[in-house]
Amino acid sequence: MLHGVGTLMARSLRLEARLLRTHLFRLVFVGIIYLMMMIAQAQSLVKGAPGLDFFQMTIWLNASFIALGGIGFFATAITEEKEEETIGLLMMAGLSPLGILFGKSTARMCQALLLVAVQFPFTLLAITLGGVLMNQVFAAYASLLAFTILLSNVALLASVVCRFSGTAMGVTTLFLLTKELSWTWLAPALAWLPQQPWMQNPVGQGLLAVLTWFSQSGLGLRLNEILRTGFADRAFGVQVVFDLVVAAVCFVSSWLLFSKFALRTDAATPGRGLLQRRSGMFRWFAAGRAWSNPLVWKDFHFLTGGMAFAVLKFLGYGLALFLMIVGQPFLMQNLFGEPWTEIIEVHLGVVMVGLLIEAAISASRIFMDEIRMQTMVNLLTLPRSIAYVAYSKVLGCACGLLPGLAWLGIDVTCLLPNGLPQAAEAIASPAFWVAAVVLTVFLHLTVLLSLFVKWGALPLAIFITLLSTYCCPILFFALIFVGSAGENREAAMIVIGILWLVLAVCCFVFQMMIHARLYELGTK
Amino acid sequence: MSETLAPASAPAASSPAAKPVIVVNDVVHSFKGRRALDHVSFEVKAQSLHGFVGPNGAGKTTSLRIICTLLRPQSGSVRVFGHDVVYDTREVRKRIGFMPDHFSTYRQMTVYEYLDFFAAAYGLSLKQRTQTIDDVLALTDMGGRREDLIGGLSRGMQQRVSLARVLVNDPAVLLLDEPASGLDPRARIELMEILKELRAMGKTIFISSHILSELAELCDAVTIIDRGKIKYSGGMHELLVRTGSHPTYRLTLDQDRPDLQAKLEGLPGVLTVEPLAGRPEYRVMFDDAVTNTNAVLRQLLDWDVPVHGFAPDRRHLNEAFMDLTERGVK
Repeated sequence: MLHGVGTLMARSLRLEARLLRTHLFRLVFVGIIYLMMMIAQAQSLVKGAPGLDFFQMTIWLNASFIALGGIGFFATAITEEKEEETIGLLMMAGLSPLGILFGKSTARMCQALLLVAVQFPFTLLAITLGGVLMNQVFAAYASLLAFTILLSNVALLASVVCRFSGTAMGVTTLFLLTKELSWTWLAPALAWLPQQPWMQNPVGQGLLAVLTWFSQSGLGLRLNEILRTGFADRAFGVQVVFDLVVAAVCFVSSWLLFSKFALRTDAATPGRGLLQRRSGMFRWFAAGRAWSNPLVWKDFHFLTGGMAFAVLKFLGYGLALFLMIVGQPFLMQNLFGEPWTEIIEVHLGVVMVGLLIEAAISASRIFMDEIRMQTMVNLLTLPRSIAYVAYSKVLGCACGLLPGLAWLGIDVTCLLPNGLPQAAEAIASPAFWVAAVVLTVFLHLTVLLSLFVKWGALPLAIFITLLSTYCCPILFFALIFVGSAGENREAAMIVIGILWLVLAVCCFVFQMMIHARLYELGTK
Repeated sequence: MSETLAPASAPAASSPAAKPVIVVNDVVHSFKGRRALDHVSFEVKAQSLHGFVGPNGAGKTTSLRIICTLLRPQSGSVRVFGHDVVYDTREVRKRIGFMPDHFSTYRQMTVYEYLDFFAAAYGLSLKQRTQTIDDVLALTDMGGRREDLIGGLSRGMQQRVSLARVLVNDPAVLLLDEPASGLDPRARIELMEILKELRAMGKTIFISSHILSELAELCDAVTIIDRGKIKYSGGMHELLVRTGSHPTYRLTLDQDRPDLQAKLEGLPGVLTVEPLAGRPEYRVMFDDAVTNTNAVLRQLLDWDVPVHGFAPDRRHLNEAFMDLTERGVK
């Protein structure tokens, strides 16, 4: 049962250690820390004790990197083997389920921990720069390491149970969001439960203790606490203990559930979601005959879920509005002056966030099937250009955004008082265009990265975009300048124009790179 | 067969009048400094079934990818129906159907959806698509599986779907890269039957394969490539029949006769008699100015030799392949 436990793990670690890219990646990460240190040093000219600022930047960078990159990195550990139908081969090679878990997941966790550990000596310099105590450094790193261990094991469990990498990543993300936001959504329950008479018994108190514990387990919450001046708590707080306990439970569960879930043989075929077959009962939700541009048809139905999913999305946005209206007397009574306007504005925000998430997910998946199923070669031998293929696919994905766009239109034109003038004003504002440009570049980057990495293009793109916006503060300066331009609007527009031009060049370069990569993938 | 996949009426491949539809001329292509194709030239005649054989890494897939416009040759030229693969890419793609050496299907689609997708991608109208898909499904014997998910089909079935996909635009030239690889014997035989049918319909088929026995039986012409260089390109018959200044025949006996070699060598006009190891067979070469096949055969019968066969000596494709290609890898 325990045969070959360490074999795969040792091999993975040895292989990773030999790769140049591993060390280059670590070097880049240390380089970013170094850049932050230089910024802190520059700050020391104008403010005292810049160590805390430097330390805060480093820790938040790490936290976002682990959370964003880790989801894709850890959640694919077992699913990628399922999708390539190689789990059986690993088992035939004499590896036990435990050996596979160690080799595929624990090895990745060790790599991530090493990446965090490699910067530890540099962050000690924060103490020299002033404003940070040794205790804070230890506490912050303990939190990060515990979070990494938790994330890798939760993702491992998701990877064992789920059929596809995408599902495993979704489940892991949902868990992280639930955990990180537990202090908000559990707060009303934690205030209400202790007052209930049926909670005044050992079981009730135990439940309350667990909920309280869970509500304090968020990494963000803990890091905020640690990074506050005057932190004097223990290095191992509730979050560290909680994360390690949950990680252990997840690992053991993964081991126990491995044989039941991981040996499924149907993972190599992607699911059809709600898409029906022509001969099925719900033919209306079938893909039907291909459109005159079949690439648009294919991506609308097989990537964004087709008509059934579009209807569901439309109903979902409507349901969100309905719940806001119904819940308004209870939830928003004291928060808003004009309830209707505020509700529609909140709904508008929900729809826009939904659209952003949909667009980002589509961008990361647009060429995924073509790469996984090696179908790019078939598309490239069509009497069409690569650009036609790529833009048609983009259009197909854009069709999936129609329900959200429809609600955006309904909110602005029908539901929001003075919606159209407000929308026109928002569109005329330079900040809108800056945001549009950043979003466009971000989507291009996501598509480009998805052509190079198997999974995790989206988190990586978010990370790079955040880092670039941080490292290239020109965007913020432009926004500040535009915001304070007042009557000097023309100058502000010139700045935005230049920014547009620069970012348009970026998009053009990205498109050329996407073109070249698609050609390369087709000819491989 | 319906009008969408109608037989063509061009001259047959065996006819000398058959024009070349693929002309590969002095093509050179390298990958990272390693020369994959070294001044490669050959032709594929219209309506022929042309085999393309060579060891692994010989340059077969590279050649196919250049012909189907996926790769640009670094030097030399390739023309398909007179259209240059570099400059007339679209025209070439309209006339070819390329099946790669791996399964490249959308496994979450049904067979019908998949074919409909590609038929539409080639610009066929809805009516044409319906007809064409019915035809290709009938040809590949997949009519009963049209609503099945591709991911749920066996390898052989998936290969048929791939072949059906290649046929939806009714291309004049089919480029097939290892179509029988990984298939069980039955699926392989059935695939070969479909190819024969396609040839009968007038398609030009350029097929790369490792299964030499089937190619020998199926192909009109063959190109052998080794280490990026063409070792032979021409008719299958010319390759397999030992051609020389004198006719060579293979004599097969029901039972060996130890004295036969000496007796045959004593006949006027017989130049060499070479016994084939392990079998009651001899390779007999004679001078056709002095004697002929009938005379030799008559003499054998007079000697009461139990002749099982006496036919022009043909090599197996395996033998020709081994003779022409080099041992080991570059």
